[in-house]
Amino acid sequence: MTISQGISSQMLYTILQNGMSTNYNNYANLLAQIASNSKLTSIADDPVATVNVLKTQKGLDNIDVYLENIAIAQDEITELDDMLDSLNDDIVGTFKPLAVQASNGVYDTDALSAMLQELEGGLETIVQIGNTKFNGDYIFAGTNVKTTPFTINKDADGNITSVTYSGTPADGEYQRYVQTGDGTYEVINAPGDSVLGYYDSATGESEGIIGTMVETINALKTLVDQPTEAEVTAANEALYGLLDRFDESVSQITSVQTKYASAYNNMEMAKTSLDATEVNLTSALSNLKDIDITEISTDLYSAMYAYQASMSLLSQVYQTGTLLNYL
Amino acid sequence: MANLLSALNMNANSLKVNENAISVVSNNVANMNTIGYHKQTVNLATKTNEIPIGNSVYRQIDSLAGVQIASVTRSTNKYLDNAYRDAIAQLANLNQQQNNIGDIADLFDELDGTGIDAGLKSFFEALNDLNNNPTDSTARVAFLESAKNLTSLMNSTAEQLQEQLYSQLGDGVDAQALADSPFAADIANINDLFAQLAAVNESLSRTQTGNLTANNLLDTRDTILDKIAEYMDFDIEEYPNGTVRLSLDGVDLVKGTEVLGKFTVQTASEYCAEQGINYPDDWDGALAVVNIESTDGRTFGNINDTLTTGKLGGYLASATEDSGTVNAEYILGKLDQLAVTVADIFNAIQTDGNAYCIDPTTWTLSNANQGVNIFVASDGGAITASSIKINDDLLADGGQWLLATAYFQDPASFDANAVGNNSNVVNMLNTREAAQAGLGGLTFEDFYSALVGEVGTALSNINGEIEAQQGIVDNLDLQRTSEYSVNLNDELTDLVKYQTAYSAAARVFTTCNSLLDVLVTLGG
Repeated sequence: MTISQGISSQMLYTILQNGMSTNYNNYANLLAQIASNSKLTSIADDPVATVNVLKTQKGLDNIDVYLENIAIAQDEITELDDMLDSLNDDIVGTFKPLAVQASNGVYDTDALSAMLQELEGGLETIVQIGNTKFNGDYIFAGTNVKTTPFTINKDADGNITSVTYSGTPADGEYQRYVQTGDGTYEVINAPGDSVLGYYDSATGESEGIIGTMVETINALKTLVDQPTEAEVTAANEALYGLLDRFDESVSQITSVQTKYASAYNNMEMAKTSLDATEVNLTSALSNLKDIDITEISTDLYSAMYAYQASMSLLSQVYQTGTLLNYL
Repeated sequence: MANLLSALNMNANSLKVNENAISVVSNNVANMNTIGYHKQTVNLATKTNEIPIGNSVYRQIDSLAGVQIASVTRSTNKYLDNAYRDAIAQLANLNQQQNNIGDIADLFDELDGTGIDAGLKSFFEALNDLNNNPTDSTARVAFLESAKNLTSLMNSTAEQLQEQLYSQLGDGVDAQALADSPFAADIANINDLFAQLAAVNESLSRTQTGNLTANNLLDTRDTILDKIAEYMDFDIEEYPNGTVRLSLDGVDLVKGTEVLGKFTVQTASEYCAEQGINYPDDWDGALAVVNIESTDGRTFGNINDTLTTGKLGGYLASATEDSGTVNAEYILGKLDQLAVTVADIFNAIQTDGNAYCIDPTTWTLSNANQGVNIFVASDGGAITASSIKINDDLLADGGQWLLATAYFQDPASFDANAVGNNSNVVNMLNTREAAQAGLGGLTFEDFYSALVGEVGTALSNINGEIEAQQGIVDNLDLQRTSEYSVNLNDELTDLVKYQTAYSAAARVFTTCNSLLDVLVTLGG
């Protein structure tokens, strides 16, 4: 500030007052920053930082959403995996041994009936697994989440004519997507036909563990009904031929499990990278808006001293007064 | 004897001069805190008896007639006054703009996480939940609620911007609103100041008739001119008798003792009606129009373009379309753009021919979503930020099921049972990071945060300019104070000086008196 002429009395007071009010403003501004713990008290403080804060905040909120999505999807996959694990155990530990025993041709009708009952129960269990719901939706139905995927149809004699699958096939149009990142999605639905298979006596279609089980049951039924020698031989051969299909079914199920395990792992990796990004963004956000308490405390003290000094200066000037005091 | 008598006379005069000088000092001291007061200085000069001196030293002494007050001058600096008035016109203009933008910035204070930005965020979060659970009624209702929240945020922001826009100059149509506006009040203030100036001019023309100045009247005149400068930087011309002529682009407003031109305002629609302009479509000026009505009957219509500085310029900039400044009108346009784009994009996805909603009674897909837009205008017209709302069909009981969540790229693969198909929600989610042609290639959120940035930058720039301008004004003000206002020490020194001179003159008087006594009694 250049002062061209002498200093008038009013000017002296103006200068002192201006100085005091500047110091007071600085002091109050620092107090406001400390109180709000934010460098940005208005969007005009630093517009660029404000826009960055908004973007960073959006990134952080998105990460929360994605992590939540991943948690839900992983739950569903875990549920699906557990189901298939127990199914595999049943196939390997119960169904296949029963089929082996039945194909031996050494058991009597009573024993075979008991095996038949157990296998029929097993088929029910498999269908129940196929009709598992997660969060109110069928998980083995593709996108037909509200349609019961598997139904056992029997004729008047109690013979199984078909086990139908009403879900959608494993085609791209029928996938359920979960967002796990900006524009990235994981497929989480399992088309039940490719996992468990189906059976239709009319068309002769027989796939997967369901087809194997129905054919096994039908063959056992023939044996229990005490047929002719030729029929027994045919049934035993059929049973024997089915044994391999149990193993094929297991590997079919396992391959689906592998596919979901890899989706699960993808999500784990996504989670790790999201966690890392979250740390980075949080620190970026903190840099953008959080105050540096050490720096600001120092500033606060110097502002306070400046304010006190200007007040004491003003009072000194009033005390010193003018020539008037000495006349 | 004659010389003693003339010395007595000279002393009497000297006493009178010092007495008067003390009275000027007293006036200075009295006005040391008066705003607009210019300190006055007594200029003393020698007084001379004009007699022929020739070679006589006595006649030379006879010609000495003591002291006189030549003039009382007022500290003034025309250059400084002009610079100061220019600077405060600019400062008042900036302050007015800061007021406007500050109000707008308050609406866009997104740092507390409650504005449209937060609304967009929760809208997409609800959409994500819908993506996870397309068959869940709650997720659908929650999505619609968040969409509704977004529209109400847009509505209320637009409404407040509208209010802000109309708060200064009225709404451009309602004459009463304009009459009640701060702008009209300030126009009245200016006319009042013109009248005051004319009155001072009159006093000056009556009093300042010679070479000496009517100092206190000039103070009053300058204070009025300072006040007028805050509104607008007018042309000022000063005449020898102290009166000023105030004009704007050659149109006289105040000249001599009369107000020659008065400011009047009318609403933009009224002005357009008079001029045959189609309002508001073909009008891109401010919401109010300033005219000058001349006492000679002429009217100078629409001087808005001339009013670029001062508080008046600030008012007009805040309510003019395409004024190049960030004002409520500009922001409203941007918000409308956002509202229209959001509505267009989501409505198109919702009503796509391959998109399907769910019939919850049969758990099958249905095309009941066809023709059911998500976003509509509350007044049935075009969608704007103030009219955007959620279609009532969707908010009605069961309306949430009309949201199209399923989508088949290949219509041949349509399966009515595929209610878990969430591809249409994925389509909606994908718009979040997509460049929108309607928003100049920005995403919804980037467009909005750019707008927030723009408002913040405008305010921060104005704040910066104000700080700089305030510095200039303060500096000029200090210079003026330094030159014009009273320094108590100086005055007290003057007081002592004149007092001493007075005492000395009195002593000389006493001495002359006793000498005369001696003379009278000489030889007696």
